[in-house]
Amino acid sequence: MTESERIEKVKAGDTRAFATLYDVYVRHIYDFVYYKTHHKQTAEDITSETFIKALSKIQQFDNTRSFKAWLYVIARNTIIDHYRTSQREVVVEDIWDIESDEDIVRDADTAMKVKELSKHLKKLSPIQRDILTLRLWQELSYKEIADIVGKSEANCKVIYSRAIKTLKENISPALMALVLTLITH
Amino acid sequence: MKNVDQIVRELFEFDPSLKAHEPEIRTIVSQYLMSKPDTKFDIAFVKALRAKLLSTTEAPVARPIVSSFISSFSHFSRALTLVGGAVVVVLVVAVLFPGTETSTIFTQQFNTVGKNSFGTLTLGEGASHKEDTALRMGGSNSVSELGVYAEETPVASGMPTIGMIAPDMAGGFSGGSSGSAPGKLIYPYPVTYYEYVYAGDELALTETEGDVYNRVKGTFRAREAASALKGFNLGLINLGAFGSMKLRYFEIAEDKANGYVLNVNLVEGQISMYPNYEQWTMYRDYTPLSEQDMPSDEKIIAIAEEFLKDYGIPRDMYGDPVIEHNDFGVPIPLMSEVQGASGAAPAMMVDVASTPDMPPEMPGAISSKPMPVYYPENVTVTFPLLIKGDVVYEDGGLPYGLQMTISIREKKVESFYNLVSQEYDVSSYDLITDMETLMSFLNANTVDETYLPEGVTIERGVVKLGTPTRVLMHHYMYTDNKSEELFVPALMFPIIDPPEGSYYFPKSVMVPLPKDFLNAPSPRPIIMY
Repeated sequence: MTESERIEKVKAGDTRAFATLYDVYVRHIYDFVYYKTHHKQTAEDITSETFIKALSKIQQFDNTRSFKAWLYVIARNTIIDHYRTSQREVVVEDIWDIESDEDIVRDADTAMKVKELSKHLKKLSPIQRDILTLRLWQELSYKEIADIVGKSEANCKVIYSRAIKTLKENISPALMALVLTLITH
Repeated sequence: MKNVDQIVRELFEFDPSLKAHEPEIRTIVSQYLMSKPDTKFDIAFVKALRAKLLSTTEAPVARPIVSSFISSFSHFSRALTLVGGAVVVVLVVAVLFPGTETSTIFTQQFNTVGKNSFGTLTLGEGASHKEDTALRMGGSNSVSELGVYAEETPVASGMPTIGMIAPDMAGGFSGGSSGSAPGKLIYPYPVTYYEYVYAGDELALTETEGDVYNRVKGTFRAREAASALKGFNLGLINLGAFGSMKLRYFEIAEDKANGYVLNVNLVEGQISMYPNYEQWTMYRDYTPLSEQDMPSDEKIIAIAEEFLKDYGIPRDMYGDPVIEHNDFGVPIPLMSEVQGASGAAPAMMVDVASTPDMPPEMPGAISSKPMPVYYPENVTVTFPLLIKGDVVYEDGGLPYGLQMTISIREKKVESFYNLVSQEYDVSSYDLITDMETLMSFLNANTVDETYLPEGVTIERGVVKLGTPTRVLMHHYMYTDNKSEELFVPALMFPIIDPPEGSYYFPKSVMVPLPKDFLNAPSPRPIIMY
């Protein structure tokens, strides 16, 4: 059975067919949400909300488009809603926009691991961060990334390379030496 | 981890100006990749959310299916009609309505009992797994088809053959024992043992306890059925003279063209169906089937689904049907194809030329002339059982559930097996929580080489496993001369790179999660050669 056929079955009321789609995509969505929240419980809550929303809105889904991309868009919007409820003055799309000393829950080991990286990622726009994450951490194709962020493949490649350039301009010689040492051993 | 060189090369293709800053670019990319967090992906969470999503529809409504299920079978055999329809109803009610008036055995019911209530999950002695061994390996040959010397080789009961290293079967052709000439030996071919290596996504086993389900086979109403029969005097024996009777099995048959026989096992709470052979016309037609006769998968599934609907068998407790294609369009190979470039016949093959008493037209024979392609008369469709949203599998990776045989010739259901009652006792057990223990356990169940005959060549290989799925494993436990039917949490790992040239290598490996399995006695080895 193709994915489109399965989606049609879901639209006809077959929840079992949705469970099969869930099995395929839950890891992708969960990891994506985690990369943007750095907190297991928050990621689980948002992932749950994403799939519940997807099931409730399945009738509105255009079956000629990418279901995977649709799930990612729902997840992305749910994350934005999550941070919007914090009543901030500045719009926050994900954890990278939040200062490390702020009172937002995050997993300590993840915070440590990304500490150096986060200094640089704050300088990027949310879409640049998303494209880097989707490409480097989730290894999605440019076509998939384009469907998720709503831009053309060519545009995504440009945004990607510009993000790398921006990071390059901010990298310190000390960090460069450290990383080069690590990767050559 | 994605290769830094590949990523950097790709960037330079988009923007050649970046090449001038290659060291910095490499640093950034490397740092980005090294900083990738462990997302703490939790299978327990996945399972819980899955169950929640599945429960968003209306709960399955108990269907009093006696009237639809049994009334679908008409023209009961004359003998039973003479006894009286009331007796038939009592017999059927005994199986289908063991509990309340509004429930049937096909409505899933769960009774939570204390932790570890079923005892050690790997108790029991003397189970023989000979017939199942090849199926556990994911292939379709049975050991007997290979003509092995060994008689039944018992495995310590309760110890599933997970991690059993599938010997690499050179050639993969099922030279049947029926084809071996008297006095001809079947020599052992090289045996390859594989180590399983996990190559899937990062995995955290955070579920410390899991539910084990024990199917209840209560048949107390079978006594009522027996009581109803007590007054039935056959003229040969007085049933009333017997005390404490319990009806264990009965069959009822449709006395019409292409009718069915229903076999009802009150002890196991199980119903199966097969053709009333005296009345089936297809068994009188021996014209071989051709490719044009073969229906599509969609057609096969439609036939199966329609049968369930027509006969009132609840669909809710089953997942997507799975078709077994093992024998579909399998050509009988030429000897030259089997020999390959070397011209040497594999050790397991019987040379037809030296066995003149075996005609080459027999299935399983190797011939020097082209043979017709075999198209099977029927195909099996399995509807995998779902328990609280989890799919149930046998420990060899095949789906467990309602098995239906579809007649290709008649384009209809020929038989079904394993329609069982759905009441479960539920008890929680401690689970394995670290991957290292799990993989060590998996690889510890290798075959003992001391059981191999002399002169057998042993080769070693590695097999990679992909990201697992959380499932339930069907498992028998034998205690006090009884067989308990359990369903235990397990992980099913897909095999992502089966060895080349291996015909019947399994598609997946099942690992039960309850810690009880870690302490089970090691199985005696099962050798296939």
